[in-house]
Amino acid sequence: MSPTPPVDAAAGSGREGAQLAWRILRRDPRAWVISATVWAAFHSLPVATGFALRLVLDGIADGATSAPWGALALLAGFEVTRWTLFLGAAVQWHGAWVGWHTAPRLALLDSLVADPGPTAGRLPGAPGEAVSRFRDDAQDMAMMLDVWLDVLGVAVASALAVGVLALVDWRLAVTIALPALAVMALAHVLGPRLRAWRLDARRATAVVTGFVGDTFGAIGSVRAAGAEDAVVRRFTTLGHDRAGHAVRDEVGTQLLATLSGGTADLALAAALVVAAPAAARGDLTVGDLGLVASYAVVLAGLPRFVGRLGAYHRQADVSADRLARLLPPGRRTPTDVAGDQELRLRAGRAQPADAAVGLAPGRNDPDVDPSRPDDLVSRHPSRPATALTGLAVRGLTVVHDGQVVLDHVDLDIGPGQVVAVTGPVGSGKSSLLRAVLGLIPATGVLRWDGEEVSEPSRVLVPPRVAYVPQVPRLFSEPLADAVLLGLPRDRLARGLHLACLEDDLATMPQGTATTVGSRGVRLSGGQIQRVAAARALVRRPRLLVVDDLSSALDAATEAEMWSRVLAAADVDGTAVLVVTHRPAVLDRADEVITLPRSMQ
Amino acid sequence: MALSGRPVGTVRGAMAATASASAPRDGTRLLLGELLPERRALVVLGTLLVVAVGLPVVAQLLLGRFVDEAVAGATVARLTAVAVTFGALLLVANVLQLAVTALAVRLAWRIGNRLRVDLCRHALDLDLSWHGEHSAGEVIERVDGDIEAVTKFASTAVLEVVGNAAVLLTVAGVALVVEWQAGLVLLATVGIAVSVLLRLRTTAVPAHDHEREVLGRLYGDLEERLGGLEDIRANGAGPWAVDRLHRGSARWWRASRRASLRGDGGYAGTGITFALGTAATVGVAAVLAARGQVTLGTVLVLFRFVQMVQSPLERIGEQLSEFQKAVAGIRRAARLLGTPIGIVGGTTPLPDGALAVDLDAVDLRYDIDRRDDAARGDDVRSEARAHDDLPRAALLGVDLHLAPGASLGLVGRTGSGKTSLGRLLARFWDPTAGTVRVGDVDLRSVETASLRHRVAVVTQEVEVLRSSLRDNLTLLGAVPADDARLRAALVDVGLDRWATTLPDGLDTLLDGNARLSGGEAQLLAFARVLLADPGLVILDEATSRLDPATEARVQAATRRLTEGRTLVVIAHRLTTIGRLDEVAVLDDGRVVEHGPRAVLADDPSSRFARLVAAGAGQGVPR
Repeated sequence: MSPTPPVDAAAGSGREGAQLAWRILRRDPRAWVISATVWAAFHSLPVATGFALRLVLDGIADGATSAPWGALALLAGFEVTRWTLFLGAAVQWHGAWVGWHTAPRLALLDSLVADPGPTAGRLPGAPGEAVSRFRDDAQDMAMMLDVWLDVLGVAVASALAVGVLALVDWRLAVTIALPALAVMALAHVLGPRLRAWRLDARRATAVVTGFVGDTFGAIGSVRAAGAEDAVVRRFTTLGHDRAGHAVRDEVGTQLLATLSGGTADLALAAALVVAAPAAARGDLTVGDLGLVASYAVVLAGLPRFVGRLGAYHRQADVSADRLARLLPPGRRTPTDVAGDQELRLRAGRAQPADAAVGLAPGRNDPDVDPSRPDDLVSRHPSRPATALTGLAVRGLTVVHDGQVVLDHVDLDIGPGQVVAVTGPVGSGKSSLLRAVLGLIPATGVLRWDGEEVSEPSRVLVPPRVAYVPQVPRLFSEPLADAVLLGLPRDRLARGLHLACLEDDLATMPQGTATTVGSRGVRLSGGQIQRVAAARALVRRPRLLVVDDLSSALDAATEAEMWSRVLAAADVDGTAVLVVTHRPAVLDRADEVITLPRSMQ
Repeated sequence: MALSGRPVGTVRGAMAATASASAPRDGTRLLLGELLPERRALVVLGTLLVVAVGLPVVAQLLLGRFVDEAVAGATVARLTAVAVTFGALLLVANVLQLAVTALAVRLAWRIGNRLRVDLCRHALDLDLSWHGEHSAGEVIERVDGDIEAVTKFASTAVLEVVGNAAVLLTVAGVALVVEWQAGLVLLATVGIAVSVLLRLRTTAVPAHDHEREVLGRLYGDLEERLGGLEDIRANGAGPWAVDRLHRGSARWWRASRRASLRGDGGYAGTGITFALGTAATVGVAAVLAARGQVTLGTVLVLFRFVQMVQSPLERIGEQLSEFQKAVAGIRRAARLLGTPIGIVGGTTPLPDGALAVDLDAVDLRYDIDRRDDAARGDDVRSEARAHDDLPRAALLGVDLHLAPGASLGLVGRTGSGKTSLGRLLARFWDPTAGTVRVGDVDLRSVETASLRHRVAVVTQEVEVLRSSLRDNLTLLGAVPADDARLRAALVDVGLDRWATTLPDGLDTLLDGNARLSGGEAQLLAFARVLLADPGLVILDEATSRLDPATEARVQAATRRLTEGRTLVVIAHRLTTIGRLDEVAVLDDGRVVEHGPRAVLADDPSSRFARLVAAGAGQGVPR
C-alpha cells in the first residue's frame, strides 16, 4: 500500500556494496585482520590433514605389518587444533560482527539527528521501514565483510591444496581448480536477473513491515472501527505477494549455491578420469588418490563461498545504496556511511555491558557548565552572542506537493516578546513553526540576532530555540531521561515545575524514575504535552516555540502552565512563538499573526 | 494446532490456559501444528531428499573400486568407465537437490505466512494495554522478524539439517555393511558427536533468547527515535540518541559473544570428537588392511565416509545458529499467541437505534498485565514496571445514566478520568468493579463485531494510515461504502473542498500526517464515524485541536452525527459542549455533578458554572 521510493539500481557504479564494506572494515582493521588470520588457518588445516592421510594410505600400501600410528596421530592432531582455533575465532568474530553493524548505524543516526536540512525526504515514511534500513541493510553490509573472511580463508586453503597437488600431478591440480572458475562465470551471467529479483523481494518485504507498523501504530482506530478482519485480509494478500517474490529470490540464490557445491563432486569425478591412465600405469599411489579425494572437498568450499560472494555483493550493493540515501544529498559517500565515531563496545568482564561507552552526554562534557546555559553557544560554529535582537523572518514560503502552504510570511520576535499565530485549519500554522525550525523545506530569509541563518535546523536548536510539537513523541525512558534527553539532572526540577507536572509525579510511585513512552506507563494526552513542554523548558531556550497546546490540555491546566512559563520568560527575557486559538493567550501576545486560509 | 481454520475464541481459551505453563513445548507444538497439514508435501520432499542424499553415498563405493581395480592393474578404459559412472551419479544427485530446494522454499513460505497471519490476528485482538506497552516496531519484530527466522530456517537450513542427518544414517549403514568393525567406530563417533550437539542446543538457546531480547530492545528504541526524529532534533537531543544506540550496541556485543561461547563451544566440541573418531576409524581400517582383511580401496572409502559424515555435521553446526534463532523465534511466536486476551467478546448483539448508557458503581484501575512478561522472565521489563504494583484508581464508584439519543458532555481537569470513562464505554477496558451497560446490555456480554459497529470512538490521536483516502475512510474496507457515500461523508464533515485538492481523489495516498493538518485529521475521523453509522458516539477531546472556523463546521457535523444517536463528548473547551443536553463533571475519578446543561449553567453555585466562569476568563496572568 505504500510505494517504496524507487531504488535506482542503475545509478551506482555497481560496487557501492564493496566500497562501503571496505570503509566499514577500515573502521576497525585490527578486528578484521585477526578474524581473517584465524579463519584462514581454520580453513587451511584440512590441507595438512589431507597430507597426513596420504602418509597413512601410503604407509598401509607399503605393506607394513603394523598401522602407521605416527601419521594417524598427526591426522588427529591437525583436526583437534583446527577446532580449538574455531572456538576462539567464533567468539572474536561475534564481537567484530556487532562492530560492523554498529559503525554505520551510529553514523547514520548521527546524521539524521544532526545534519542540516529536513530529514523528511531521507527517511522512508513508516518507522518500521526506517528500522529495516538500520537492521537489514546494515546486516547485509556485515554479511559482506563476513563473506570476505570466508572467501579469503577458503582461497588460501584452495591455493595451498592446488599447490600441493601440482607437485604430484599438475593436470590433477588444473582439473580440480577449473570448476570454481566455471561457477564464478555462471554467477556473473546470472547476476543482473538475481539482482532484480532481490530488489522485488525487498520491496515486497518493506511493504509488509510498513503495513504492520502502520496498522499497529494506529491500533486504536483499527480496533474502534472493527477493522481487524480487513487488516488480516490485506495482510494476507500482501504476504502472498511477498512470498511469490521471496521464493523466486531464494531459489535463484540457492541455484548458485547448489551448483557451487555440485561442481566440486564433479571435479573429483573429472580428476579420476584424468588420473585413469596414470593409475593404470601404477604411476599414481593410493596416497595420491586420497590426496585428490580430500582436496576436492577443500576446493568445494571455493565455489561455495565465491558463489555467496556474488550473491552477497549484489545484496550489499542494494543495501549500500539504501543506507546512503539516509544521508543528505552530497554526503552520500561510503566514507560518510561508515562514519568516524569511535566504537566503544568492549566492556570489562566485571563492568556493566555499556560501561565502555563512557558517560552519557551532558555528564561527561567538561566544556559545558550546566549552570550557564549559553556555554553551549560558544562551542557552536556560528558567532557567539552579539547584541540580542531576536528572530526575524522575511518572505518565508513553503510549497508542498505543488501547493503553496505558506506565502511570504514575515515575522519578528524580540527578546521577551510573545508572538501568537492563529488561523483556520490548513492555513499552515504548524508549517510556519516547522519551517522556521528548519524541519521542513522552505524559502525565505531567517535572521537570528541580526545574522542570517542558512541552516535553521542546525542553528535554531537548543540552547537558542526549543520546540513543543503539536503531537509530541516521548521516548521509552524514565521520565527524567525522557525530559532531559542528556542534559544535566539539576535542570529537571524547574522544567517539571513550569510544566505543572508536580501533581502528576506525586501519583507515580517511582516519581521521575517512572518509565514513560510506549514501553512505560500510560500518560494522558495532557500529560504527554506537558512532559514535552518540560522537555523544551529544561533546555532554557532564548526562544520557546510551542505548537497548539490546547489539543489535550484542559483550560485550567493550560492557563496555569502559561502563567508559570510566561512569568519565567519575563524574568529570563525568553521570547515565545506560539500557535494558539485561546483568546487569553492571544490577549497576552505582543503580536498576533493571523494566517489566511491557503487552499483556495 | 492449526490456528487458521478454527474459531478464534476456542483457540484463545486453549492457548491462554497453557500460556505460561510451558512456552518451549508450545513452540514445538505450534510448529508441528503448522507442519501437519503439509504432510503430503513433506512426504514428497522427504523422498526426493533421501534419493538425493543416498546417491553420493553409493557413488563412494565406486571410488573404492577405482582404487582396487587400479591396484589390480585394470585397463584405462575400465578405470575411465568407473570414473564416469561415479560422476553421473553425483550429477543426478545435484539436480535432485535443486528440486528439493525449490519445493522446500515454497513450503516454508506457505507455513511462515500462515503463522504471520495468525500472529497478526492475535496481536490485533490483544488488549490495548498490551499495545500500550509494545511499540509498533516491536510488533513488527514479533509478527515478522521472529517468523523470518523460522522461514529462513525451514526453507534452507532444515534441508541441510535433515538432509545431512540422512547422510549420517546412510553412511553409517553402508559403512557397517562394508566393514563392520570400522563401521562401529564411525557409528560411535557419530553418536557422541550428536549427543554433544543436542546438549549444546539446550545451553545455547537461552543465550540466543537473551541476545534476541537485547536486539529487540535495540530495534524498538531505534524505531521510536526514528519516528520521533523531529522531537530529537528540535530538542538538540541528537548526541543523547546516538549515545543510547551506542549503549544498546554494547549490550548486544556482550550478549552476542556470550551466545557464541555457548553455541560455538559445543560445536567445537563436536568437531574435536570427530577428529578423534576419524583417526580411530582409519586406524581400525589400517590395522585390518595390514592383516590383509580389507583392501586399500575400502580404507579410502571408509575415510571418505568419515569425511562425508564430518561435513554434514559441520553443516548442521553452521545451521545451528539459524536453528537456534528459529527455535527462539517460534517460542516467542507461541508466547505471543499464548498471551491471553483479557477482553473477549460475548454473544449478545446491541440493539438498533440510539443506545442508552448506564454505569453502575464502576471502578477502574489500570492493572498492567504482567502475565507474558512473567513467562519471559525479562528483568528489564519487570523492573521498568515494578511501580505498577499498586495501580491508581482511574475511576471510583461512578454511576451515570444516559437516555437513548441524549448527548452528554464530560468535563473535568486533566487526569480526572474523562478519557478512562470513554474507554470503558467502547470496552477498550473492562471495569475493575461494577457494570457498564450500553443499550441495556452488559458490555461484557456484547458481541465484539456488534460493539465495534454500534459504538464509535474518535480518539485523542487521530491515526492516519499510510494508505489511500478511501482506505482511511473505510479502514481498509471494514466499513463497506461506495464512492458516493464516501464523498457524502466528506461533504458532511466539511472536507469536500480539501478532497478536491488531492491529486488522485479518493485514491490519493495519505502519507502519515503529511497531507493533513491536525484539524483535518480530526475531520477525517468524523467522516469515519459518519460512515460507520453507530448508535453511540464517543468524542474523546475530538474538537480541541480545531480553530474556531473549523470548529463551527465540526459543530455542524456533530449535530448531523447526533441525529438519532447517543453522544458522549469528552471536552476541555467548554464551547464544544454548548449544544449538548447534559453535563457531568468529573474530579479525581468520581462524578461530582451530573445534570441538564442549561440547569447547571444557570446555577452559579454549580461546579460546572464555576468552570464556565473560569473558562471565560481563562486568562494568562501577565
